[in-house]
Amino acid sequence: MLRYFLPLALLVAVPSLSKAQNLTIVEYSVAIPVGDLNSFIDEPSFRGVNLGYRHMIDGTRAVGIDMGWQTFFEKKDRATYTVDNEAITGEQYRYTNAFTASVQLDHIFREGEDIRPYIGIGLGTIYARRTLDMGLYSLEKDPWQFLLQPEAGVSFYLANGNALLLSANYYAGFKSKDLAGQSYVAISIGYAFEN
Amino acid sequence: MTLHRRSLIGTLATVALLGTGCYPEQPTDITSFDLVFTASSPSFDFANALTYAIPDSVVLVTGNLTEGELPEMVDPLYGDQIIDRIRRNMDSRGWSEVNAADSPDVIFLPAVSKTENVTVYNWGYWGWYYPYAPGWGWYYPGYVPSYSSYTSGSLIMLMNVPADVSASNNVPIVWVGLVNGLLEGTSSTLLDRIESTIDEAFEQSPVLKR
Repeated sequence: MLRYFLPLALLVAVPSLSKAQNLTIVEYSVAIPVGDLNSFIDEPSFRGVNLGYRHMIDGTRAVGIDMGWQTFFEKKDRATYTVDNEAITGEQYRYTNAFTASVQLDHIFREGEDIRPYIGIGLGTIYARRTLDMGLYSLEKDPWQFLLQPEAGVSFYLANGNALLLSANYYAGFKSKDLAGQSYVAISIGYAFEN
Repeated sequence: MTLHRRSLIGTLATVALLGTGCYPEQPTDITSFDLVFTASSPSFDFANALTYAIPDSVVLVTGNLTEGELPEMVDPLYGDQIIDRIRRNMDSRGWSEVNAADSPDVIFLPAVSKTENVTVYNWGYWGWYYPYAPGWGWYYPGYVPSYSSYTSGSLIMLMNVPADVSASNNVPIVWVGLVNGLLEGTSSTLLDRIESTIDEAFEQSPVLKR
């Protein structure tokens, strides 16, 4: 029943309306690079998708996993880059494909309400594949980094345990041997299905 | 339709929205691949170098020459254009061209490579021009260029100092210019790209201005 927004949330369907204890989540995300990633690509990404799964521990807590893929891209017009006694001129095509996987723990507020805010924290890894194409040359770094993924969002219950989601995630990558931490903020809209 | 099916369809649809995947936009214009790299020796006193010599032909690097073998030359349609453009840039920056036998401060050696992944072409390519004994090599005094290898479609410009031959019979290369791109397109387009990229090599090398 689509009447109003019923509680929903990532985490929970209202126990009185649904017996579902698990949710599958699909999200589309827009992201803004920060830190070192922003220095490399100063453009927002409109290419992101996240898949999640949550098991409800009780009415206010959920545990699960998130997996995501966000593609960042920026074309740099032909320019000269000088370092010490060297200079190079050309167009640059910069890409970063960030693949994330994390274990998430969420807390849901306003149990039983139609609109439920929630917060969460996740730990996992980010595989950041950075590619710099210039001329016929391509330079690539693809480190695995430790990932901290705090999130906050709100769920709008629809029906049959399904819900719409609106969330913000901060993907904080930690410095690895050959690359500074790759981080970005993502705003996502999604849909949660009860299992 | 079960919820599981809807979930699957939703997932696939979302993934499909991403469309072009990992690399959303890539070069489509041939000039987008043109790359100009230069490096210069930090230890060479460019300010006191005033004269240069340059051959009238551009050698074509086809691999390692055997001793005594003469190199092929680039088609004069392109070779003359390359030489002329280098001359214009050198002259406009205050250099004076002299004959190679008149003790120039530097000698400018342009070569073109159409082969794949040539790392270094040998000194023997210049035995016909350079008035010195064979068996010499070259080295980079005080620096190592980041691009020490090149792929198909490269113009390699080496500036060396004939008076500074080392004890090990190596000639110092004090400036290197590398133009790399696709050898495609019409001849007029290629000539335009040769001109513009050689100009860029000089523009990004302020040490060459007198």
